[in-house]
Amino acid sequence: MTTSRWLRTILAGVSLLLVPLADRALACSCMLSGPPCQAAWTADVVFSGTVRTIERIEGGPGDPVFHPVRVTFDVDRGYINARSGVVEVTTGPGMGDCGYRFAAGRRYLVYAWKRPPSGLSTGICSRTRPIEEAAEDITYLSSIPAMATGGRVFGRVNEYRRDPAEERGVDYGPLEGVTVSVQGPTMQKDVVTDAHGRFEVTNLPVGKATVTLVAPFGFDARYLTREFDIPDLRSCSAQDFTLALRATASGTVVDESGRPVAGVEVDAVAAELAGFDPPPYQYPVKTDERGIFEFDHLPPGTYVFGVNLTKRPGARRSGTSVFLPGVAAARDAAVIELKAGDETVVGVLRLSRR
Amino acid sequence: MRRDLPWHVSRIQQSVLTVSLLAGLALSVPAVAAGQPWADAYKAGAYAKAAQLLQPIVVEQVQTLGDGQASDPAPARHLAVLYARGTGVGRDPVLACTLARFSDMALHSRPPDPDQHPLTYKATIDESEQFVRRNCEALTKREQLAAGRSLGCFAFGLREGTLALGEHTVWVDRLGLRLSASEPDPLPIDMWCSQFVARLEARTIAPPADAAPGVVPRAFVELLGWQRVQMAGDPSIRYVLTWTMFELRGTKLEPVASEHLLSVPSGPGAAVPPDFDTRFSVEMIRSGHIRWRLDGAPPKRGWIMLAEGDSR
Repeated sequence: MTTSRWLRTILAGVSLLLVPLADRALACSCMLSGPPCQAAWTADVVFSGTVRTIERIEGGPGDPVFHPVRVTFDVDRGYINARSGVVEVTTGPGMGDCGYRFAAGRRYLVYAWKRPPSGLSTGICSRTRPIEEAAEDITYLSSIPAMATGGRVFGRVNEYRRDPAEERGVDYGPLEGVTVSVQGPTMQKDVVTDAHGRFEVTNLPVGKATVTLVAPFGFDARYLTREFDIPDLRSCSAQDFTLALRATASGTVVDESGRPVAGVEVDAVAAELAGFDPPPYQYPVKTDERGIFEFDHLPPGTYVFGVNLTKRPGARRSGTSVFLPGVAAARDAAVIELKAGDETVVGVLRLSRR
Repeated sequence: MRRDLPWHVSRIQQSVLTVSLLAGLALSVPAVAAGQPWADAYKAGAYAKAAQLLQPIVVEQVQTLGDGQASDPAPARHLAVLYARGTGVGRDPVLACTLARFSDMALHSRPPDPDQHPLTYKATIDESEQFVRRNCEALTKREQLAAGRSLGCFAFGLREGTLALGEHTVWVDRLGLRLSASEPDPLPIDMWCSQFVARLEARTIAPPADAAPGVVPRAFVELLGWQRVQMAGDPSIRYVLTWTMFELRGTKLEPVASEHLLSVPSGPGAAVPPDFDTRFSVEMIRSGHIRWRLDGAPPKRGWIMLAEGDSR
């Protein structure tokens, strides 16, 4: 196995056989393998076969129940680096360790990685699945020999929107007309998302490339460049993006004599929740030595600002609420509407000694 | 329920008592004690009003019985008669059976009156059981199951029948909702034990004008029901308005939202609060997810997300 392929394996997050060595099972955490045209080129071996036996691998530390298992397959078709015959693959026991729980006698499509010094491993972060659920994979894998048209990157751009009065946001739908720029070793191409928010760039050469979104006005422009790899002219990379509208708000906290107050935690709360001690749906920010606070990435909406305006569920409120500009009652608070892309100075919050 | 009679009750006494009791119990409705508003309405023939007054009383008795206390069988008994006859309320034999059983449970919750003749007590018990039989025997097995499941829930205000939901017909009964297209008949969706059903209707929510391609209307059965609850650490009883949405997904109706929207301290009856429809809104966003919101101080809000794999 080449170093780059081994690295790709690690990047794919398949640390399957390391985790079971721990005394207790851990929650599985890994990146998924993407579509078949991506997964096929990050796996070392791909085959279809029927599980003949499943054996727990004895020895090693910890409770045997967490030990990996050895699965023996009767391979009926090899797609990548595999032939018909008997193949052994190891995986975790499937108890929160990313291991795949195979069933004896059932037929699967298996994506596996070589595990030094020898042997193959797989897990739930791969596209390994029962054969009856692998139609998309089989279609791609069966047509590989006929393709050599160049690499492909594709994806979707969707809007994520969160109301300031809610803890979590939702997928708000596809974004049409977003410019996507793809740059490879010897090429550069710009495309625009369609009505479904989709984009695609084909004929990519082998090698590393980047995909960059040009955020429309009002959207958060962070994290919009990604690097990806085209290992083969028949491979692809799926790159989905989510864009969120944002606004910024800043202000100053002073004491009753007008001096800036540093280290004060300021809340931004949806105006409709003001006075009801909502949870801190917006992360509070602290004032700097000049008494300035700045919220960089607020979802657009109508806000009030102040100190001690929120309360975590089950927690006690840490002090008396003071709303900008320096009032105790929510009804007297300054209500500020922030639109997407706004950079608003909300004013001065004056704290009294009480 | 049979009891051995005390030795001192002679056969003559037994005969006299039996004849007089049978005469008294010939009517299925026992005498109404005046002085209670429901009883006054009943005696005056204002049966709709009597039913309205009786429903919350019966609901309150669920708690009384649950606490192991004695309860008056008369309210459920009279309400059973109204539902059996369709007097003042829509005729509902299943609910009449439920109420007859509940009345019988209330009767059994009471210890025999020491001043009451044992034969009188026995006759009362026997007659109550006959009343249950009269109201329940003619029901189908499914209806009897429904009557049993309604015990303590009642779902006053529920109208059994059908709802048109897109191309489907939804069958509504006291066991829940069924899609006519579902074969074989699946276990119906539990109505989650509402004491009062304020609204049960088909509702289709359309995409907004700027919806993403492929976003389609979503079809629901909407249930607004009042549930009697006792909060932990709070002895007072409240009625909570619970909003439940069952979505048509493929050939199945699936519960996709159940929210406690508001509460009131006393029996609300089978009605939606007067300002509810102006305060409550449900709308679809571009991606097909549905946002709901109840204005108030503070407002409540939430989502009915698309089924996994349906995101646009």
